[in-house]
Amino acid sequence: MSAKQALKPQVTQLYKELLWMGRDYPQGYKYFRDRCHKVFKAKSGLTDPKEIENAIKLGEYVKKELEALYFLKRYRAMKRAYYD
Amino acid sequence: MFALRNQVRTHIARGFVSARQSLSTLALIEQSNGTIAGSTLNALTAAKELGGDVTALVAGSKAADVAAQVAKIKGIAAVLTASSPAYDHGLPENYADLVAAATKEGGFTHVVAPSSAFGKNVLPRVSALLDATQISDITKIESEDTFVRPIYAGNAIETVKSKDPIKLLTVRASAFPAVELEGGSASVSDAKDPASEPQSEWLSEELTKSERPDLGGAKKVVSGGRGLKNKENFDKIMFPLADALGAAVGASRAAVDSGFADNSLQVGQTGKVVAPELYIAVGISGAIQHLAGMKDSKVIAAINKDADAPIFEVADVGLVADLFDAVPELTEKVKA
Repeated sequence: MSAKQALKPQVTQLYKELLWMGRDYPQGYKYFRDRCHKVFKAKSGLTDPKEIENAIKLGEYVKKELEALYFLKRYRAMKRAYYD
Repeated sequence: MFALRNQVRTHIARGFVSARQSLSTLALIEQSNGTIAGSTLNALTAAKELGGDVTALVAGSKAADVAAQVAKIKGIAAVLTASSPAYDHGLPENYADLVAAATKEGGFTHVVAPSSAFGKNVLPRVSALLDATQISDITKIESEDTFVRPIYAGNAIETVKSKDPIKLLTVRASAFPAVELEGGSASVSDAKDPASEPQSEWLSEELTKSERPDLGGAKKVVSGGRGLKNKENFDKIMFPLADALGAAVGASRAAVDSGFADNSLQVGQTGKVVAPELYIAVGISGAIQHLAGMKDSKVIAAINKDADAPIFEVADVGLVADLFDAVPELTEKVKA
C-alpha cells in the first residue's frame, strides 16, 4: 500500500471534520465548503508522505483556529450583551 | 493623627497576637532596585479585599527604601523588611524560606503575591514548605476562603474553596485595580531572616528596555502580525503608531516565530494576557487562538487587506485596507 493510500483515511477524516465545523462559519456554510474544497483539491496531487503529513498538520491548525474563532466570537458577543 | 497611630497599633496587635483566630494577610512586595513592580499594587488591592490586616513583606538590599514607600500605601497595617542582598533578584530558594518563616512567625492565614514571573516562581515553593495548596491566578475574591480563577486557558471559570489553614494566592493583575500610593502610615519592622544557605546564584539578566508602556498593564495595545512581512517593516510601521497613540506594542505568535518581534511582545495564551481599552490588530488575519489572550479588551480594531479575514469576525471595528498605506496615514492623523 502506498503512503498516499495509507494516509487517505486521515485526510478524509480531516475534511469531514472541517466541513462539520464549517456549518457555523460566519460567512455561511457554502462559502466555507467551497474554499475548503478548493484547498484540498489544490493539494490532492501530493505524493510525498512528508508533504501530506505537513498538509494534515496545517489542517489541524486551521481546525484549532476555527474553534478559537467561534469561541472568541461568542465570548465577545456575550460580553457585549451582558457586561459592557 | 494620634487616633491614626492608635489604630495602626491595634492593627499590629491583632495581626500578631491573635492571628491564629482572625484573618491576616501577608503580601509579598515584588521590587527591583528600589522600585515596586506594578503588578504588586494590584495584588495589594486583592490582599485588602480579603478583609483582614495586611502586612507587607519587602526583601532585598534596598528593602528599607521600598518599605518606606510601602508604608505610605493606604490600608497596609505593617511592613516587614529583610535587608539582605540574597533576596535582591527574588531567587525562589532563599525567598521561599523567608516567606515561609515570616508566615509561621506572624501566624498569617493568607499569603498573596502577584501572578508575575516573581510570584509564580516563589509561591509554589512556599506552598510546598507550608504544606498547603496554592491557588493560582485568582481574578475575584468571593470570601476569605473562596476564590474565582480561570482554567483551561480561560475557557472556563472555576470557583474554588480552600480548606487549608493557610491560603496561598497569586493574583491576576488585570483583574484588580492598583492601590493608592498615599494615605497610610504603617509601622516598619524587621522580619525574621532564616538566612538559609543559597542553593542557586544570580548570574545576570538581559532586559529589553522600552520607553513604551508595559504590555501587561497598557490601556492601548497595537499588535502586529505576519502581514507586516519582515522585521524592518514591523519596526517602521508599528512603533511610530504606538508612539503616536501612547500604546504598548504587541505581536502575534506568527510574527514572533518569524522573528519580526521580540518574544517579550507576544500576546496570547502562551504570551502575555492583556485587557486594554483599545486593541488594534494590524496585519493579523488569523492567528485567532493566539489572540485569545486579548479577549477581554474593550474595543478590538482590525486592519487587514483581506475583507474575508477571520479577524474581522471578532473585531468590533475593522478597516479593509493595505496596512502599508493605512497605518502611516493613521499615525499622521493621530499625531495631528
